[in-house]
Amino acid sequence: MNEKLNEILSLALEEIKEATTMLKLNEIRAFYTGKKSPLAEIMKTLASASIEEKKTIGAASNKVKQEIEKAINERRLILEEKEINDKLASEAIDVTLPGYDLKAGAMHPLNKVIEELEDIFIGMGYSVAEGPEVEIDVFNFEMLNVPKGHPARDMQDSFYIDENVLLRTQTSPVQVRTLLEASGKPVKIICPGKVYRRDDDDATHSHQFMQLEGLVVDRNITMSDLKGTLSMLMEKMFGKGRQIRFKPSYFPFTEPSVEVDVSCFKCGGKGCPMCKHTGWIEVLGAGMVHPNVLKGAGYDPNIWQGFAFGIGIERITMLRHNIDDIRNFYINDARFLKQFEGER
Amino acid sequence: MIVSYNWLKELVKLNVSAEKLAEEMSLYSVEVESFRKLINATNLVVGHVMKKTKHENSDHLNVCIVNFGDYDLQIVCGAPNVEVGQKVIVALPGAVLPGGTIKKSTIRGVESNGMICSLQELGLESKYVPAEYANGIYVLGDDAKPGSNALEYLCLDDYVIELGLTPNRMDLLSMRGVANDVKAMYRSELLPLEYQIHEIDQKTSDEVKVTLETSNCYSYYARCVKDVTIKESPAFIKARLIASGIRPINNVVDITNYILMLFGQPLHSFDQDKLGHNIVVRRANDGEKTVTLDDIERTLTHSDLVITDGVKPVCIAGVMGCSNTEVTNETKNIILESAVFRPLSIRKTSSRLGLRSEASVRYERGVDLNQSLEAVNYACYLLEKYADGKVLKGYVHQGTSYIEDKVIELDEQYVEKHLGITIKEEKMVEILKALSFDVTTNNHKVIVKVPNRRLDITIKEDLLEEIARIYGYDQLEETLPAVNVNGALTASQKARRIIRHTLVDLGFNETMTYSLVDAKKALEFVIKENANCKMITLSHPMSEDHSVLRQSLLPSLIEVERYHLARKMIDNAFFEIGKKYYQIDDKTYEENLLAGLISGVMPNTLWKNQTQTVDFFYLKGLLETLFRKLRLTVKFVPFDDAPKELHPKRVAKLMLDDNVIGFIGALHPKYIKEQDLCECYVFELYLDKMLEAEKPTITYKPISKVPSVERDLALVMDIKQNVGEVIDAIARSDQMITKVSVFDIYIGDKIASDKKSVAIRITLEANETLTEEIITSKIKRLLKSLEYRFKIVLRS
Repeated sequence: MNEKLNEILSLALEEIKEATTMLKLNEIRAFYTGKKSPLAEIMKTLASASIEEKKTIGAASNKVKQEIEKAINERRLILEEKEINDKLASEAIDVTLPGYDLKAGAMHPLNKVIEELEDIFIGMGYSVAEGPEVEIDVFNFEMLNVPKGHPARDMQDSFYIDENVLLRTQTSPVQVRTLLEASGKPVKIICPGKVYRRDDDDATHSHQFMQLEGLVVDRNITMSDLKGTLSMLMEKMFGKGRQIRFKPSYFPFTEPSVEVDVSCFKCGGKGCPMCKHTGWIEVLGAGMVHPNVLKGAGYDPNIWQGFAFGIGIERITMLRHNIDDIRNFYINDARFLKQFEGER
Repeated sequence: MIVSYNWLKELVKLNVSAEKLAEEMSLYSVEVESFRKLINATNLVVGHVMKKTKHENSDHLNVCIVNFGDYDLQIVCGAPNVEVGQKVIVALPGAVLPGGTIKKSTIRGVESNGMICSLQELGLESKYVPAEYANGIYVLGDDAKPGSNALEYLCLDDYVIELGLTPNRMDLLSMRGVANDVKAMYRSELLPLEYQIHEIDQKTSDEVKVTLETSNCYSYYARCVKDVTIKESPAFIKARLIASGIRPINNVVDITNYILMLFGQPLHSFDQDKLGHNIVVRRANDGEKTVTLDDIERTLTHSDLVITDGVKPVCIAGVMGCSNTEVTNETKNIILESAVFRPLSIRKTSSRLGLRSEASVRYERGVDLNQSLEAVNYACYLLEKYADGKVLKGYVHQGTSYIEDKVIELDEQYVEKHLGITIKEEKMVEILKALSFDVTTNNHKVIVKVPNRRLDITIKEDLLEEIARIYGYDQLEETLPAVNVNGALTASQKARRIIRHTLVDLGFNETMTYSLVDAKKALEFVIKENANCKMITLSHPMSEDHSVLRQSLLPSLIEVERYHLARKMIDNAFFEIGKKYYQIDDKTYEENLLAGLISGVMPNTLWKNQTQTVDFFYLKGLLETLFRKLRLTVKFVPFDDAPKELHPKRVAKLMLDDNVIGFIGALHPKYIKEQDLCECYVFELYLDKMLEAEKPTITYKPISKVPSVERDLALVMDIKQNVGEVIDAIARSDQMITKVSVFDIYIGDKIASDKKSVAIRITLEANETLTEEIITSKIKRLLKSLEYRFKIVLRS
């Protein structure tokens, strides 16, 4: 009888080993462990056997059954693994195919730079002030110490609506408006915005462009504060280690007035075509607020003092990104705009 | 202002190179626009033409033997005017000229050891070349020494520094003024002008009488010089004028220009035999006519100043002389004018006539009348010396002759408070003295007397600048201002950022277009509500295309779209945040707008050939996303009187509460055809109105612990029924309904022809499990009310 059992076992193990699908394996399990399995048949033949015999054969038969089940389980794990692997293999994709085109757009580079500047200044405690673009002559010129007939009006021929109203030629009138509104309190603002001048549009001129004005007025604001502020700004805009220098200049609404150079961010100051081999690039104008401007806005210049600066957004954007034609900003070619989709 | 380095060195002791000076002037004085060598050529020597023979193989070339002192060289020359005996400029082999390097060569079989040069070949602009040498070599004077440096002989061995003059520094419009600033920079000293006039006994006052009939002439000096010989100026005057960018003409004209550059005082010379003995300065009469030196007839107005002979104008004051008294080659006797006029008056006239000259530029900014006399005296000296003139005794003067120094006080404390660094009193005094100001101190006060030549200095802040720049801006500290204020964006600024970033994330490119547009464009896309807004027009536009301020951003976006279509880019999405500008009863207003445009294929549909073009609902979906971000409940309402540029059946106005905050729609097919566009969907929102209301903080709602339940209903309704209204009604009908969406619309034979079937999915949420009974009863109630309000029935 034992021989018979061993024969069943080796037959079953053989079949299990050869099973390549779960279906087959399930069939094998049904055949060997079900009610009509060869083992069951053997048990049936034992009806006439002695109790002792029944015991030993029953035990042997059970052991065979357990071994078969164990083999089936082992085989099942292998087959399941294989099945998963086959499925995975069939699901292979070409990961180099392009991703779905979800098309995020791009912010306009000028607005991007403005937001960057706003964030730098907000971090230093500035607010962002805004003012009208259709401005009165009094705010655009007269209260900025540029009376009618002043030669400085030469520098910025303007678009007039009528005798007293014009498109602002600078963001500086917002200085006056802010001071008037703050009426005698400290002021710390920047003002980004569009300005207009009578220039023919070409690679370096635009009748419309953007400026960012800064103004700080309090009791003890010094020119060293101006230098520190602009120095920090230039490091943030053009990278660590940038230095600045002041050169004498003239603006009617500041005294002293300076042009500000930043050390060339391309060559680090050694001299290159970008900085015309001087190591320095002119980036903005600044100065201490002229006492007439303070006085006109109701601030006593013997008590109050401050600094102001103005940055040409197009200029620094062109410098930073090596853009050679200002008209690019206003043509809005998607192929141009998309180049500024990423950060910086 | 162009500064000649050599000239400067005659006016101030200077031990720095021209290059270093140029660099340091921009740090301590004024912006330097350019720095260059006047003549960029080397190895030029004086040659003496000893022999000239015709070239055997050419009919226009000559073979010259040229002497250079101790040696001769054979040089082939093609110039028509080369002659034996001439002293000429020779570029020897190895010389670098703007046109290239000179080499020893063989020209048509004959050896040539250099080139005899014209002035143009040295790189001089032809306007500076005397007419007789325009087409040939330049001939030097007999005193030129063969073998010596030709540029030195011509006084053209010089460097020029071009200053970018700011409107305030009128004092730097003269060589003497520049010398004074340079003197301060290097704590150097000025070199005096040394000259002596040999006046004859005849008196100027017997020859000319000056009358001022207007206060616009502050000061008028006249001097008379007799028997002048008109001829070429000496080399040094010509060279300095060339360096200054002024064309040499003849000795008399050149000397007046020389004085202009030296003193900053414009001089005018009249031919006395044409002028007579009378000078009257007055305002011009309206309509008065005169012919200026450029042979153009000018019509004057009462705001112009004229110099007259008592009857007719002989000069438009400060701007240009008249041809009726012009100095010509025949002129013998000269009246010199050294005057100062009211800057504004000269500015008006010169800009009205479009005449800007070296003189008018100076008059506009202000001329120091304290040195008018010295300027005219020095001119007389030069005329005596270089024009053989006889200078009459004395001068005639009318008007103010001297303006006192201004006295300005400041102290150490004031300077420190403004610069943030300490500059000791002694240092301040030292700097101010270096600037040639009279300085005294009294009880910690520095008292400065500022001479009239520094018209730009009127207040102590101006002196602060003088001290700071000469002390050096590099000495400033770098500190940050301590101000007790905080900084943040306003709600509206924040909202505009959210809009910008959301739309960019949704696939739009942001544009920036011009605010000034064509007048026709400014009327497009204006909604009826804004019909009373008048457009703002420039009084003097530069072009029709940019003549009025826009009232909608859409025409500009459409322009951008057309640009892209023309370049075969058709899948586009653009937006812009910008202003509209308008006028109501002469008051101007500005409002923020947001506009957008989409066309072509929806993003994300091209792959796998599932292209789908954009449509109204795509754009509407994008806007709804934006409104959710901004926490605005905006309704899309049919728009009956939409702007005519929009498709009348595919347009909606956007309502926030009871306010129209914008519109969305397709472009009108007619407009598309007119403008050569493709199908586009656009929107424009009036941002200020939209962002006006303050929004409460978000309040958390507890999340239901049980899953939500969905029910689909097919609702049959009138074909014209707005589905939006129905959705709205369903959403409001029960608090438990949290979402209502449409997933199908059917129109066709299976239902009545005047009906449509709309498949709607309703989501219900509650805090406890919703039983089938509750749901059924809710749906039943809903259907009943829909039937009552909209005659809607459930599709069977």
